[in-house]
Amino acid sequence: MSDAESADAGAADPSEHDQEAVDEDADTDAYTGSGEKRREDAALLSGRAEYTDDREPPGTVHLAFVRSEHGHADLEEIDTSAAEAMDDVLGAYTWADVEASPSPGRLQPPGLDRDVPAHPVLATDRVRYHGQPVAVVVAEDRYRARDAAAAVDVEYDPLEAVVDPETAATDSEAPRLFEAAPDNIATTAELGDRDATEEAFAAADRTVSIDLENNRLISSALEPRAAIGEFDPDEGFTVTVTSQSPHGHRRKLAHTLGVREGEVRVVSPRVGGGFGHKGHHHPGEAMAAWCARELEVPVKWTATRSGNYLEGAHGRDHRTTAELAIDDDGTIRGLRAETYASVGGYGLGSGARMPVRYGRLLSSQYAIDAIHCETRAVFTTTAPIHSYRGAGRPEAIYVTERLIDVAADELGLDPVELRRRNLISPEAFPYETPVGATYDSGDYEPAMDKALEAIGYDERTDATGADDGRLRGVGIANYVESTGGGFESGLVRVLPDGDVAVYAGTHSHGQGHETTYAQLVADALERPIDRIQVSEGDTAAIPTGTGTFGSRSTIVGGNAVVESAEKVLAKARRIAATELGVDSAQIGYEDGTFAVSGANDSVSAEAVSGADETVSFEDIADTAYGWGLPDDLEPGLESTTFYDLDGAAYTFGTHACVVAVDPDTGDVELERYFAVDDCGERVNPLIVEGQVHGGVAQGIGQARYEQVAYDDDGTLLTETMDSYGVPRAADLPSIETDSTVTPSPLNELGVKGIGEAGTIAAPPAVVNAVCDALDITHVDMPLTEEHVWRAISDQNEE
Amino acid sequence: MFPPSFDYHRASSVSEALSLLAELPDATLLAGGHALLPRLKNGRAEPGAVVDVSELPELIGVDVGSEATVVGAATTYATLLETGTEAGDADEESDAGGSVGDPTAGRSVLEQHAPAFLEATRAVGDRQIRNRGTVGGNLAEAHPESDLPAAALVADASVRIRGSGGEREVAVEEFLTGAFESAVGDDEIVTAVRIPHVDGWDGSNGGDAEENGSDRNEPTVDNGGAYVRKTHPTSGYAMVGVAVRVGIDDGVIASARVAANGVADTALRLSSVETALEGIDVTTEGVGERVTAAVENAPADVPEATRRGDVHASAEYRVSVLPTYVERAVRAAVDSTEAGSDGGPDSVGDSAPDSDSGRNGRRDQQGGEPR
Repeated sequence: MSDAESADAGAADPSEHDQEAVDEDADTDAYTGSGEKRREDAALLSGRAEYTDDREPPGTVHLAFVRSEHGHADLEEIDTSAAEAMDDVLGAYTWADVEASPSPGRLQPPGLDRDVPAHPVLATDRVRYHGQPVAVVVAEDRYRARDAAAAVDVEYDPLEAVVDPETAATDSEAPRLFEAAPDNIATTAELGDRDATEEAFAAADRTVSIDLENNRLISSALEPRAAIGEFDPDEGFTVTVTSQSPHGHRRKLAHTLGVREGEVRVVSPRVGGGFGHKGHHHPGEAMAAWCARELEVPVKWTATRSGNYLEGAHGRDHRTTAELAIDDDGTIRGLRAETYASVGGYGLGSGARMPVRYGRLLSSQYAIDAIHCETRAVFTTTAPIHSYRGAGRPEAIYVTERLIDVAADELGLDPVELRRRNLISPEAFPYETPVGATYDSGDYEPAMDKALEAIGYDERTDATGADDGRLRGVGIANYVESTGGGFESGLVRVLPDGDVAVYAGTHSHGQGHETTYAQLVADALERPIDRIQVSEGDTAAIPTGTGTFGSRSTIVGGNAVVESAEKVLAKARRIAATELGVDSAQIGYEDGTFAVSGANDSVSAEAVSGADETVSFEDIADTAYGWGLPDDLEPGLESTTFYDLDGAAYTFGTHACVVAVDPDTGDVELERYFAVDDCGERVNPLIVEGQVHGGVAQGIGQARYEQVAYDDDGTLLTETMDSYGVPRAADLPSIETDSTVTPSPLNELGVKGIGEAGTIAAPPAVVNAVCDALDITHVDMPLTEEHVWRAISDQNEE
Repeated sequence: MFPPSFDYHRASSVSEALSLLAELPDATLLAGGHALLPRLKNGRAEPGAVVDVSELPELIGVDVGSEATVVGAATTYATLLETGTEAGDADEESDAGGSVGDPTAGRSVLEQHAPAFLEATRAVGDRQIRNRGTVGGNLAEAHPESDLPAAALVADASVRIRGSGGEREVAVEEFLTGAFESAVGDDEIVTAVRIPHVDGWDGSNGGDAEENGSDRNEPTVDNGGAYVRKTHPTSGYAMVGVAVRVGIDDGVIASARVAANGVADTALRLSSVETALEGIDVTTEGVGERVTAAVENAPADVPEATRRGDVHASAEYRVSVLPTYVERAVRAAVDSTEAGSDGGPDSVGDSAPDSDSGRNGRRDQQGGEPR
């Protein structure tokens, strides 16, 4: 299963699930629920942690890309001779070389309606976005490789470009990217019931509408993408890669290289941020492996920052017209949305299908009888789109939460009151929306009230607040986030001395799994946390898993390792029963000691000294791998669980912010930002809070600074951090947080994901606040000084 | 990419540096490195030789003379801020020292004569950049969005340039010839920036030090200044920056210097604004409206062909908000004068929203170290 795909699978009956586990955390000594500091931080912060680029197998050589200088062009000729003639250059390759090799050389098929070719690792006869890989050069060191790449001479015949998805799909003059998609439409999708929605609109007192753009973004992970390809004729490929999903990469690499999965081992060491773009498979990874086979040496590729920005992939880029059917009493009757979503120059696996699913969250927190969403995923001569923290969720919630403010304005109702009147009631769960999502649990009003109270919503001053000439506004955004879904592997292996090795198929790139999983397993086994080690990121060592994306790891990975720990403990209990000569039902266990229950009410120090009646976890571990095991017990003490979550757990909350807008310059200051998030039980509140902070920072980045810009020729104008506005620490307000806890009935731990909450809630909260301050209907993101100033100017002209 | 290979020379004197520049093919100067090093990294500079002048004693230091303060070209921003704000003996002997709340009390010579220049210096980059970058390098780079050029313009500063034929002095206005282009030749070196001391407002500088009884060079007019900037959210440079110097005579703006950066290919004087400001009485009712009216035509001072913008802030936007930033800078400048600080009937600076409320957390360009 690929990225973000799992988010909204079918419904599950919560009554089937045992909720008892949820309440076990009452134990005050438990690690679970405590703000255990992240165990990985010492290595990460001191620089000891090893990332892909830190690894240098003996003999490693380096790969650099020649990238398209045009947004759209036919390739006339590629002359690599000058590069090849340079000292220390081992080879230069183009599509012709890939085509002549045993490897198909195309990334995973995009799975679109239209039968278009998948992204080739190197351009075939045409380039469809600025920065598309055209050739590679391999040299003894990375600098030489980049110099040699610059010496490759490529002749282009430029074609007309089209960068806006709506134009690409609707303008008959727009250039066509693929023969098989004459209108540039890659896929269309429909969610909800069109007729029912039309009826709801006809019956409602009024309709409000909005046209909005969800701006195109770039994943600015600290660590650019990197890969090291190694090839052994007997053992196949080993690819060290910056992956969010090592097993996913194994499958994708096998596909691109034309080998079996068993011939590819994927290793992912520390990964410095992913945000979705390290979940998709990239030409650089495939070409590092391909060149390693060609040259019989390890080949390393590390993207430059600009390389990452040119083809990272990008995220979002929607144009939407949305309408709300609403009665005068504030009852929302229906919602419909029509969206043009950019796919980019090629469909990238699940990234290309994100627009198909995005509408599933359009119901947000509200009981809306009829929703209809029609989406066209459109090819444009731009970098391919893939999941970016939220992956469709922020796009959907932004539409609904903006529409509600527009409707409130139209009705003369307080936007909070309008929200309150339409919230799904806590009794209605599981709640099935008209667009195919089933919300597992929720209690929306308390979270909203907490945020409102914290921000002083009822006491807020109107328009002009403090006497500094600036306009004040308050913005509220409610959200739901579909999290988890699919299966995940978790292996718990007790070593002979009682240490515990935990392996999971997820892969942490900032989420803190080493700490979270250790907390969970330490509690499940009642062992000290420092006896637990967590490992991820090696397909040779870890049972096939799914990976980390879509806020899923704690739900599926966490439950997988806990279930494995429970199985391990059950077996340990059986061994202890044999040792102590009683039935295993009579064995009690506490804090690492098995005892015959009844002999002691609780296991005390004295009881432990009574050797015949108690046995330690370490002794059981030793026995499990020793000689004296009874015949009916298999040696070893480990268990693997493939935990499967049917459906998704729906995190929710309310974010509120206060802005001050300078009416003369359009300058926006976020004076307050308050987030109340409910992600069910919190295994580690500190890490949850960190996820909220990071997500809000990125959400504010989208709302205020970040905008990918192409010129009309398809040239990327924001190729560096000098021109692409990632917010810095000083640009952000102090982010205040609070929580409510509504456990998920779908999993034993009662947890929900939190990774994307901030990127979902912050954009509408900030835009709603600025619109409130200016008393305007809408202004598109990012809220640069200029965009806001223009909104003010337009308003003054009216 | 490999940076192109080059010979590295550390010059031991300006004259040696000059002969190295003349002798070596494609030689370039290195001081703070903030312009050269990024260009080397991205392949936009391929010098044959680099002549390092960053540690030449003759180029470093702040020399407070009787008529002018001369800042050595290789003086770092940090050094200028350190020495340029030393109040020295001005504390004891200042005639204005007695009155509580007097804004000029304890001000250093440069703070009194060129406050905007110090404020602009303070606004440059961050602490690390100010510890490394140089005043001469800043002006020679002629970055359109850099902070110092506008401030140098309102200070009536000039740039000393030495070549094989000797030294010449060029007014900043002539020195800045275009975006990233200045009057310094390939085989020349900027040696210093000369900031004349204010002495009357007839355009002449260099009053009689003897008359003041010392070389502390207090202005003979009520002089104030400010630098206000909207920081560009991506580059950290000025999206719009405005430097102002005003001289107040008997409550009336006797002379004004106003310059902007960020809006055009070079920093430039806004002469129609200057003219409109002159004659405004800052001590009577309605001064706010008078200032607002005076700055209105600022865009007209920015020639269309030179206007500058980017993805984040277009030229149209920058020029449109220019009057606002000019107004704020003027208000701050007037407030920094004795007349303006009296808190008269209509203190000009009271209702201006904070400029630069976002980037770098620096909301108050008017005083103190940035937070």
